Amino acid sequence: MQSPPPQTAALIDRLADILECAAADLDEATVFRNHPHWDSLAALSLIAMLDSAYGVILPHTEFERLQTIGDLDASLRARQLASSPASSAWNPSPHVPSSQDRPSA
Amino acid sequence: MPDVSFAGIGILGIAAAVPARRIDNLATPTGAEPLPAADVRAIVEHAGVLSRREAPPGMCGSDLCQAAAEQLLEATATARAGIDGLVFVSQTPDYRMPATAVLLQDRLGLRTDTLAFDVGLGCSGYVYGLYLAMSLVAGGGLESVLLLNGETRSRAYSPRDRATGLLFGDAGAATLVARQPAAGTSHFSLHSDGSRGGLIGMEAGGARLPSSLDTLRERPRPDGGFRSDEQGFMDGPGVFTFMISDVFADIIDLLARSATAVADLDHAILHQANRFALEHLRTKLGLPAEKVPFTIDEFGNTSGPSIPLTIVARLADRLPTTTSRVLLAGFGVGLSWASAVVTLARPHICPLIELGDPAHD
Repeated sequence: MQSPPPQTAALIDRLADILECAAADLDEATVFRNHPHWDSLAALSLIAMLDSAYGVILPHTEFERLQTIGDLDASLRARQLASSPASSAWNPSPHVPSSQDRPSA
Repeated sequence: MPDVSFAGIGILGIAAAVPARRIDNLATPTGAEPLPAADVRAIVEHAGVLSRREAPPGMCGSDLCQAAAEQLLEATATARAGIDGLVFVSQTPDYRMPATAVLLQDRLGLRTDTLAFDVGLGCSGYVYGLYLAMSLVAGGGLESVLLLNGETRSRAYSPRDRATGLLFGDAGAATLVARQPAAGTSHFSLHSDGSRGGLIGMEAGGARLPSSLDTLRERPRPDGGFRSDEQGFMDGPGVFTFMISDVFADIIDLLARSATAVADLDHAILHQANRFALEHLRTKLGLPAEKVPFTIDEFGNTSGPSIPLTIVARLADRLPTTTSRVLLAGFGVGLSWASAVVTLARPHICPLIELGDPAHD
């Protein structure tokens, strides 16, 4: 099997932390929701990780549709193309995605 | 929404009451088929709820509010006849009708030419309530308003439901709002999004799906939960996403609009939803830990009362002797959320009341 690209590998490492398993046990085809260690607490850890590591918050309906690690990777890439390059996520940004349209000020 | 602000209207005092009866979340469970111990430990560690208070049968949120209100009126030397309005905020009112606020008018011995009504909001209920109370003083012809937030959610959820069973506790609070020049300008930001109403709720017992023998049966759910239609449900991940996006953005916007820097805030009192979620929000907002008090460990998620309860339980020694600029943020069921930047000018903060008998049956 080909090694995943570096960004995907980093994502897999972070998921392995959350799922408390070896990174080698996961790949892009893995359905993370079916993992034995997946539960609502893992979901919260994942949402928090996406925010702190990538500065990305997916609308909940979009998050619910993700099945595989590949789906997650693709969503992250799409968000990163749409906004400025990922930086230290602890700087609050006015471009925080929200799942509702808000009128401009 | 346009800038919502009030000038010279303040919080004269706050009091709160909790039931004396305490549930220790990590104690050996009783009852049929409780949650597995390993699950309980994981949930307790994550949500941060070590214990919570439970009203015994017959005790309601209104009773907790009444005790708090009586203490507050005495502490502020406010005559009963001096209260012009009473707003009771709860989603666990005494009855479907009449409104609990009106019953409290009588129980507190207020005048009959007093305005009294219920507001059916939960976790956004304190900040919304404060906005209403200030509005009534600013433009509604009232000189002083008693804002009461009271809930008995400990019995609104199934102890066997993983998402909700260990989180909620009971409390009631009273806040006195009146003209106060030292309060300066209060800024508010208020929101509603019914499109995500399905994230937190209770399916049956209202007009949409009336109570029946079926709605009272606890049963397993597709989300892994276990509850009846009359017991509350919550989508934890959906609510967490909401907290760290919408609530976060609202607070940032409000701080900017009110020209308030984090360094200008003395305290930030956030609705006590969940420790993991609050810590993430706090860190993301750049709020230092010492400015953000917690009561979720001791009292759980009490919904609307959680902000005033946290003020009473954690800031009683600091607030009365000084003037403090504080951020308040309430958010949750609705979805409804609101934040405010207000000045507390030497408010009376009463000692926490514990009501009733601590012993279990």
